[in-house]
Formats: sequence, C-alpha cells, structure tokens
Amino acid sequence: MTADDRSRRPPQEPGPPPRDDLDELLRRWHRQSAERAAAGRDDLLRVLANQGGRPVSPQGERRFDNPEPTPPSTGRWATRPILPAMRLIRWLAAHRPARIAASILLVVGLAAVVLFPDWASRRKGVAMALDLREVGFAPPLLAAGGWPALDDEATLRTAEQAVADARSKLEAALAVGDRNAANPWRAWTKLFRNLRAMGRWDEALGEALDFLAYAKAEDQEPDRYSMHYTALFEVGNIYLSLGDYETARGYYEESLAVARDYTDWLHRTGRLPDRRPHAFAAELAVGLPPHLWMLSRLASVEGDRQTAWDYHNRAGAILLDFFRKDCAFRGLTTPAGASLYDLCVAVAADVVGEDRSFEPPAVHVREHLLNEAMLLRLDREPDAAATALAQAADLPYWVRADDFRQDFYFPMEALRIAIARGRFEEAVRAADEAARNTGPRDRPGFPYQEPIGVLARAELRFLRGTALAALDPTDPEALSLIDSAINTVHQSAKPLPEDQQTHLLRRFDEWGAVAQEIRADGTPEPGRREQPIGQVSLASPQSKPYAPFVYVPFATLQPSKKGTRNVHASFQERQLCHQCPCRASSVRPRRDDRSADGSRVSRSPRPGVDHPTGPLLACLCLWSADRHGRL
Amino acid sequence: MMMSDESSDLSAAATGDREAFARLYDRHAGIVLSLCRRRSWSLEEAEDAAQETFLRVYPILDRFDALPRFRAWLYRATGRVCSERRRAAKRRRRWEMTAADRQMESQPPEPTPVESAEHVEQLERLTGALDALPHKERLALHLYYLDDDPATTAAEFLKLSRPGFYKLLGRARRHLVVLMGEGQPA
Repeated sequence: MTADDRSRRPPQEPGPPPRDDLDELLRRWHRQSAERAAAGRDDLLRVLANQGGRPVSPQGERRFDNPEPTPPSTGRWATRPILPAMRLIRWLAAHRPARIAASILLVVGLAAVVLFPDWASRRKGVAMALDLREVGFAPPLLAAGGWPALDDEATLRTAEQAVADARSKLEAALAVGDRNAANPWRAWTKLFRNLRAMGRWDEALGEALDFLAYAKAEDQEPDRYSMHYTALFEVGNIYLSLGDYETARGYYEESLAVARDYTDWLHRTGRLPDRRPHAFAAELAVGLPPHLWMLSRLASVEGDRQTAWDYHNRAGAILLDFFRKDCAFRGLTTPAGASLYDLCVAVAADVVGEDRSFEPPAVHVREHLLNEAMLLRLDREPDAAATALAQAADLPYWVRADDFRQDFYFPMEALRIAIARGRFEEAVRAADEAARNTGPRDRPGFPYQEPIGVLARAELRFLRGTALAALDPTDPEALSLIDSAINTVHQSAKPLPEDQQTHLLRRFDEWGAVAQEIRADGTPEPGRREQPIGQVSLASPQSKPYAPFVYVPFATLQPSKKGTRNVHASFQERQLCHQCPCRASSVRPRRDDRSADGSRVSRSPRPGVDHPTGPLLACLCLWSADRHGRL
Repeated sequence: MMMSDESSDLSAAATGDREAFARLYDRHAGIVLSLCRRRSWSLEEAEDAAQETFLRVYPILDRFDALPRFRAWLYRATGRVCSERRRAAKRRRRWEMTAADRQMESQPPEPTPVESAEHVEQLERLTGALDALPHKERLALHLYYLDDDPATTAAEFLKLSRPGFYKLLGRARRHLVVLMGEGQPA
C-alpha cells in the first residue's frame, strides 16, 4: 500500500458510543423510562378493556385514575338551576379562554367593518393600481395553471359560483329552444371561460367544443359568423393553455378566416351601424380590425413576440384614439390621453418582458385600457383614489358586459365625476350621451333589458335630474326624472322576494330624500346654483347604486371648492348619520317643521334623539364620525 | 424479521387485538415516555401523556398502512399531546388550584429508596440536558438506548445511514457533556 493509497483511505466510520460514565447514566435514565412505561402497560390495557375499543376522546384527562363515571355534584352549584347561557359562560371561562379572546376579536372585527365600511377604499395610488390589475389579471393567470400563485379563495369561489350560474343559465337557454328568445352564447362562453380559469381543462374543452358544434349549426346571420369565430377562438385558447400550440394555431387560423368573412359581410351588407352595441362591430366602427387580436395571438403562439407586440401596438393605438373620442374622457386633455397610452404600453410591455407565454399581450389589452383609464383618472384626480372599479364578485358580469360597459359605463362614470366636481352642465351632457347609448336593443337578454340595465338607466335619470336640479332647482324636469327613477326602482323591486325588495329599496332610499329636498326647497334663492342639491346624497357611501356595477364611493371624493358649500346647515349631521350603520338618512321632515313664513323645511336627525336605532348607535355614529374627522 | 413481526402486530392491533397492541406498546412506550419527559413537568405527568398518546393512536390504527407512518405519527402525536396537556394543566392550575394542591406541589418528590441522592442529582442534570438537546439528537439517543435495532429504525425513520446515525449520536453525546457542565468530550 502506497502513501497515496493510505491518504485516500476513507476515515474510520463512526460506531456505537463508548461504554463510559455518560453511557451508564444514559442507560440508567432510559431504563427508568422503560420501567415506568412498562408499569403503565396494565393501566392502559385496563382502560382499553373498559372502553371496549371505542374511540377515545382526546380531551379526557386523568382517565386512568377514574374510569368510573363521575357522581353528580352535591355542592353549592348543584342546588341551583343553571341557565344555559350561564353554563356556557362558565364553561368558556373555565376551559376556553382562547375562545373568549377569539370572540372578542370577532366582535372587534365586526365593529370595525360596520363602523369603517370604506377603510379598504382609503388606500391610494399605486396600491389601488395593483388591486385593479389583480382584478383584471386573475382569470388569465389562473387560466395558465398558475393556481398556486393565485391561491385566492375569493377568486376560486367567485369562479365556482360563476360556473354554476353559467351552467344553469345555459341549460335554461338551451331548454327554450328558441334562439331568438334566449341565446345561450354568452352563458356558454362564460361557462367554459370560467372552467378554464379554474384549471378544469377537460371540462372547458368539452364545453367549448359543444359550443363550436352549436355555432356551426347556426344558420342565421350574423350569429353564424360571430358565434363561429368566437367558438373557434375560444377552442384555440384552451388548446393554447394546454400547450398544444399546433392545434391552437389551427383553430386560430380558422377563426381568423371566419372573422374576415364576417368583416366583409358587415361592410357588404351595411349592417355595421346596426351592430354598434356589439363589441366586435364597435371595434370595426372605430377602425380596429377585430382580427388584429387574433393575429397577435397567432404570432404569439408561433413565438414571434415582436409581431405580436406590433399587432398589439396597432390595436392599442386605434383603441386609444377611440377612447380619446369617447365621452368618458371628454374632461381629459390630450397629454392625459397620451399617458393613458403610455400606461397601457407599459403594462403590455411588462407582460411581454416577463415572457408570460400564457398571456399574449394583445388579448387583454382592452382590459388593460379600461383599467388603466381608470388609473389615469385616479392619477388626475387623486381625491378619487378610493374608487373601486369592481368587486371580485362582479367579474363574471364584467366579462359578459363588454359592450354595455363601453356604451354606458364610461358616460356614467363621467357623469358621476362631473356631479361630484360640481360641473353640472358637463354632467347633463354626459347623461344625454349615456342615454343615447342605452336605447332599446334588438337582442333579447342584452344587459340593457335585464334588471341591471333597467336600474342603470333609472340611475341615469336620477343623476341627470340631480344635475338639472343643481343648475336650476325650479326645473320641472329635474323632479320628474328623479320621480321616474324612483318609480322604476319600486317597479323593479315588486317581483322580488321581500328581503331582496327591502335590500334594493334601501339601496336607493336616498333618492327619495333628494326628491323631498327638492320639493321642500324648491324656491329659488340667490346663489342657489352654487348649492348642489345632490351633493348631500351623492356624498354618502349609501348612494352605492347597485352592486354589480361600478361603485364609486363619492364620500371619499372631495367636492370642488365651489361645491363644498352646502346650503343645509344640517349637512354635517346628515353626513354623520350616513356613516352610521343605522342609515338614518331616511329621516323625513315632520309636519311641524316649518319656517317662519309657513313653508316646510327639511330637518336632519338629531343624534341620540331622532336616531331611529336609539342612543347607542348614535354614540357609535358620533365616534365613527369623529374617527373620520367629520366633526 | 423483527420489523415484519411489528408490522403484523400493527395489522393485528388495527383489527382489535389488544395483545398485539400491548406488544406495540412495549416496543415504543419507552421512547414515547422519554419524549414526553421533555415536555412535561414531572415523570408522572409524562406517564399520563404517554398513555394518552397510545390511547389516541389505538382507535386509528387502521389508518397506518406501514410501520414508519405509525412510528412517525406516534412521535409527532407525543409532542401534541404533551403541549395540550401542558395547556390544560395551566388552565387547571389557574382556576382550580387549591391551597392543598399548592402545599403538595411545594413538596419535592421523594427519591426511590434504591436511588441515592447523587444518582438523583445526576439524573436530574441529565434530564435538564436532554431537554435542551435538539429534537433529532434527543430522538437518536432514545432510539439507541430503547429500540431493539436503532440503526435500522433510524435509517427508516430519520433517513440516516448507519454511520450517519452514529455520527448524530456522537454529536448528541458531545452536546450532552457540554450541557451537563462536565467540560470534556465523552
């Protein structure tokens, strides 16, 4: 053996520890354990024999010492009947202090939610922007199987609910059998998109292929085109998500061919203006070839990201032009529009830069544009930073309501902002524009015909009425519009179950208060134009119009200097009560509330006196208002 | 051979064979009690915790399709049972402690006649040092002194080779020496 061999020889392997004092001590220690454990063996077997092999309660303590049932107590407590509540309290106090702490935390949490309903909306700027992007991007991220990255229970539940809703609606639509009466297109699309978002690929593909078969059987134009290319495109999307690029490309190409046929058909037959509400045609109307998205998707599938990016840029530029012209942005300047585009490009570039193959940049550019447009508004109007675009639960509806949003949502947003800013002439113009976009549609089941659309139009009338009243309180049209809106809400509530009816009416109960104010204070006064009649109501978080639609909590919007003057001396109190969970805004003037000349005057609830829910909530109300800095 | 016996005992105990369960108890009770001694205030408390651990595992024996899973569950459950019992004892003491209890607790446990004062002191120091050991090292010591085939068990349960097991054992002993204040490596 050479010296090298010896040096290469592995070191001696470790073996059992030596027999030393420590070893002896350890042996004695473990012997003690073993003996004590062996001594308990009989106890254990006896207990098992007593229990007859039944499962053992883990809470049982000292069960071995006292296997017999405990005799009833004869002490002081046993002589008194103990109320169940008392027993519970004693049990909690004696055994579960942690549960008491949990209960306290729960109560504190509930109180915080009730007293600070808009805490989440107080976040500003970038944080809000991130939220918006999360809302917009969650489904596509999930579609790529990035479920662990977005393990958001709320999103999951929303998607599950959306799938259930879509499936039931689809079944109902198919059961009718009359395609004109109930077109299952949207329900079907929604169904397999949500299935895809949840990662249920097989189900999504099955539904999409069923939809494709249904679309191919369609013989009526223009559905023959639009359903067909949509179905092909969606099937391609699913194959893309599954990683089958070749098949996806085949479907995309087929879809592109049908989309081109459709474009030709629309131009040839002059049907473009009629199809204005349709998103596809709307894009055509603004000069955006709808198949630009498909071209971008195809390029992305083929790995040509530069081409995909070019297509995306072209689409973005065209859409930007459209948005510039849109009435939603009439209050914004051109540089603002440019920054909108920059934002859009930045977001899409981010997508490209991160090489998210599952999310071709062009597909969601419209979503980006919409979201970024709102972000832009937040940038330009920091006071509106609390604006929530939509709740997570609203997403399924949003997916479906592209055109509705395009036609209605932006003007409505502009209208609300204009009123909050005290720009009433502009608000009236925005209301007129929105009204033009929400006329009767030829497609049954279109959102405008659904309750949500009816309520939206009612709100439009209400907002227009408040704007008119702010400009001229004697304008008879103002009150007429508001009354009409109130009637619509009541008519819409009638077929609903009682609890939903109450819920709906409470959401709109402020409108009645505004009408009352207009009636009570209908006499023109000097400087009345500076006193926005709708300010009080719109400034309340209770003026949330309806949940599925975009909710702008105007309480967080600071009115312009011109608009901050409120004629009602009771504004502070009203505001205070609006913050209260009791919703004391419905307090009406009393019969004896008259001024010196005998005319009726409005009156605000006096905290702790007129408060309908009593002094306790009034105190909470005061405290809450104090926390909000409104006192 | 021994392993297959233990596996068959596990299967038999799952069907209600108490004798088989007793044999399982014999094999593992020492280690379980040793683990409990770390987390309990007294040896008696540790004994109760060890027995409760076995009482908990008895109704669910049919869930363990393999011996390593049974062993892993048993040793993990030991920690949980001890923690729960400590919390329960805290609550009991807070709400139910009487003067008599306090008086009894203030009295030190009497040593057994066979154990001299020096032995008791050594064992107490060793118990304190064992308490301070990392869990893996402590488990290795318990396995070595209480298991019939510690190296094989360690290979299965701790995923250690035989040399690795003895290396861990040596490290545990060195730590013990330091912790017991003897100052010299064993």
